[in-house]
Amino acid sequence: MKSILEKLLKLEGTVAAVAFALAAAAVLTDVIGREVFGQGIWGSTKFAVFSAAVAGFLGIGLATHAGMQLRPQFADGWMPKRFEPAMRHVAPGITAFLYFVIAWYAGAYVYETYQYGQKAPVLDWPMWMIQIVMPYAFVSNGLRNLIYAIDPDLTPQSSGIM
Amino acid sequence: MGILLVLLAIVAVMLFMRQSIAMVLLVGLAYLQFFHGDGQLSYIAEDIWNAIDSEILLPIPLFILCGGVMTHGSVAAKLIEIIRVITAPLPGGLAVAAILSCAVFAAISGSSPVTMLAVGAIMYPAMLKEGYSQSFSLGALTSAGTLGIVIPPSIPMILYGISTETSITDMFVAGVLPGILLTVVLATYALVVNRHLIGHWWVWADIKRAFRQGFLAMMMPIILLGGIFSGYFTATESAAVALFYAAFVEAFIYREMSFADFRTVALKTTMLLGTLFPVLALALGLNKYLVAEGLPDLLAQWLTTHIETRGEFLVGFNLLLLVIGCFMDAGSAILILAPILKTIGDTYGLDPVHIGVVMVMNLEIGFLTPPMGLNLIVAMTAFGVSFGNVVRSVIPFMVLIVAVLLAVTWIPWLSLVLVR
Repeated sequence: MKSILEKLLKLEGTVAAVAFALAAAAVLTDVIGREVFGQGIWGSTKFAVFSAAVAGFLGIGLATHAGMQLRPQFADGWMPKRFEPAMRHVAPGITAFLYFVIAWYAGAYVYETYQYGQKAPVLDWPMWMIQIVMPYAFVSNGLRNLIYAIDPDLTPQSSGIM
Repeated sequence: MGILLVLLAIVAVMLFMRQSIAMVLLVGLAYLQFFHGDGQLSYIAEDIWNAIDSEILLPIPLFILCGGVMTHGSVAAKLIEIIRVITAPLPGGLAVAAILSCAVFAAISGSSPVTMLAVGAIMYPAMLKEGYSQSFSLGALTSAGTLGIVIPPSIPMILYGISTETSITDMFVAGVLPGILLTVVLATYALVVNRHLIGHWWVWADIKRAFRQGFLAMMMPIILLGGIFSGYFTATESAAVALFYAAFVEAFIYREMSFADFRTVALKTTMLLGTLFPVLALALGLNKYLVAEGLPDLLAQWLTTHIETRGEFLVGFNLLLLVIGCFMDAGSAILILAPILKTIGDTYGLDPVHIGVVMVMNLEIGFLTPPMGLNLIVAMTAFGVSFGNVVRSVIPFMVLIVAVLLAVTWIPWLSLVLVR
């Protein structure tokens, strides 16, 4: 199970890093085009938005892997100590369930855009091709949390947000 | 009233079950959509996509990435060195340099803990070595690090702009004077407390060396903020240009960053986005629902019948946010509360930009208050000290920040003079 987590991290990390580079490059080339050649690059902003969206959605899994999801911890002490071992399974189990539920609805939404043949404004790309990252990200997080629920020792330490 | 009670119960149960803020928002939104909305849960997915598929979000990853490159590389060290040699003759010069370095780094990073870490990693050992007390050094760096979200560019200000449809550039401009005021107050305090630590006169060779080595680093905040404030670039474009500049300088001139370093920075930025985006998308979805149901207006009506004056409202507003800041991070608090509080502020004739700056300053203090004070937690780990020590060390600084907050709250001119 650890290897699944590591592979997910590597795959999502690489794609997200590339998506980021593309987003930054798209905005920059637009600025250069406008300043140097007197004309921006057509569709570059929309492309940058899509790239950042891909990076952002994949980032949800990376943040989960790093224990960076924002979680107020002041209520942790409300649970009696004897339930602590069970909570290590239950809490990520609930999170996994919720991610799978939202993944289902996200999938339904993307399928709807596919059926309607919805195109991205400006770029004219099929929207589902970009939106597919949304259900994927939720499934990937559901899977991660399911693994934590099965083997709580793999749960990352909460490291907070920088 | 019944809906509110159910929502509070959902929040309590979800926190009890150790769920993240995103999951709490998700279940809350699902409850509202299913029982009080159209009953279509797929609308939540649609709301999430619509929130993320927005040009207005673009500056966030770019600013985070830009700050990451500069923290990872040597820009921070070079900027700090310039400030250190300039403040050398002042009594307690190094402490003043620490505060000013945080302010300057805040002008390129947009994040409080990042500012604190970037400056603290260099200044904390240096201050201890020069005889500054541990408590003062800790407090100064942990507190001045919070300038990161007040001095533009600031991620919470961008979030406020997005969630309330207020101009992000206006928010950035409005943050300048309060940021400078905070810096001056903290630096003055550092000077007074450490007046017994005598500085040394300027050494011309040191100044020349620092400026020669740090000239390109010094251009960073100028490019970043100059582009935005002059109106030449949008916030997004400015962030992209600054990112390119930082990457070029670090990779080809300072030669401090390799390809692997850039990948690490990109990964860390993605993780940060991964914490922010789900909260952002769901909070915007929740706010959209609440606005459609007219809740902010209802709340504003109720408040105006119970709270008559603007002054009373501002007292309540500050107290609420100070308490919220103890338990919630600045980004989530802004995304969830800003649209409601802005609507209420409107009924009292308060400027949305002023409301935004006061809100960000309140939540800045939240970085220093237990149990969720992020700067406290990061300082504890980074500087290897106990939580209690960090908390005690920031108290005098927090009092000063609250004093500045009160000034900015009751003198709107401070945040609005450069905007209007």
